Amino acid sequence: MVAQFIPVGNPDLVKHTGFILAEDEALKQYLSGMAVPTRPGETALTDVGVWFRYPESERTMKFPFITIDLLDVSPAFDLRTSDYLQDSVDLYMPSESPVIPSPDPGMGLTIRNYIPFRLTYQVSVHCRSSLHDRYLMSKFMTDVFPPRPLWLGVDADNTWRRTELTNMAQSDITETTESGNKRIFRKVYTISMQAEIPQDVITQSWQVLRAYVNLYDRETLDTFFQPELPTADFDHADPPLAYAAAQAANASITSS
Amino acid sequence: MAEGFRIDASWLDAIERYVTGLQQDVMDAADAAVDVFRDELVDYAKSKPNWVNLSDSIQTWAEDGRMVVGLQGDDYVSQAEYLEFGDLHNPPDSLFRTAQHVTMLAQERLVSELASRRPIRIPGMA
Repeated sequence: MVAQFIPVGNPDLVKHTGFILAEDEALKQYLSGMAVPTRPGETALTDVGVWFRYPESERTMKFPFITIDLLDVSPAFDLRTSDYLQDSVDLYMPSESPVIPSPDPGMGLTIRNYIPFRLTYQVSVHCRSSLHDRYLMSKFMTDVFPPRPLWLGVDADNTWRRTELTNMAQSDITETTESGNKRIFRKVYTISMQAEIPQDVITQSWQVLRAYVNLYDRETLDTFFQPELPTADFDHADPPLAYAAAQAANASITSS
Repeated sequence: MAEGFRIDASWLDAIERYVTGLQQDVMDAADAAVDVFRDELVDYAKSKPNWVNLSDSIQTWAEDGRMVVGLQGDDYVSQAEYLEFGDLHNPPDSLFRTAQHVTMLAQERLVSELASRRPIRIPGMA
């Protein structure tokens, strides 16, 4: 029985690190920190920058670098479950959140299932030399987006997002600048990340106080499930005769 | 010498007809699913302003036994690639990689087509 709703609190628009923002930050953090050999045989390393979309034109573009584009946010209908109320004990949010109030004595908390979504990202690697291109391609295929399920840690709520590499395409382009055309090696990785929209309205519910269960004696079970015979006074008739009369009555009802 | 067990020839004929029919059913269902996939993808492309001009050029064809969906013609392919992956100045406006709902619709059509096909009937068997 639903007793009352407990609002968790208004969304914090300033500190908001929820759906999409949390995944964006996690992906950028995951891709940051890479470096490539500046030239073949040299020990000097060049850092690989990470940007959302291309850097502003005012900024000096230092190759190689990585760009992140959010292509699509679509509901994962195949992962959705019915919107029934579920025991809050089995969900991670109440155990992780410090703002969940304790239920009143004799009451429990329930929360709706989180709503699953898929975020589709395009991660592009831009290089000016074939060495960097091949080096990073090898690193991406083996370490960054390996051909197995990848779990991306999200600091915002200290959970993990299942992530899959769905496609890799080479899309080398030519950049036209004032000094002429420059070749750019570009590799495009498409990844799909599972995320959820948390449900932040908690329902306080009564705990089960009493359960009623119908019990039947095994010997009377067959009798209980027999179709009801026509009401007639067979109390004084022999059982076989009563059964035959009932069958006849049933037949007449059916034929009519 | 033990007597071998015999199978009525009509049973084998019936099974052969059934398997041949199944093969045809699968091909028909696949064709229907491909049609749904293409139609829905074209509709999806028409809903994206950057893809409207290319939408009627989207085609499906078979290549080495596999279904391929895309655009044919160098101009179309070049334009579609820039839209799909973006470039230095334009962000990607992906069509093919965000068409998951189209895939699901085609899959549903395939499953429903196959589920409504022939039950097996062999002479002499219930």
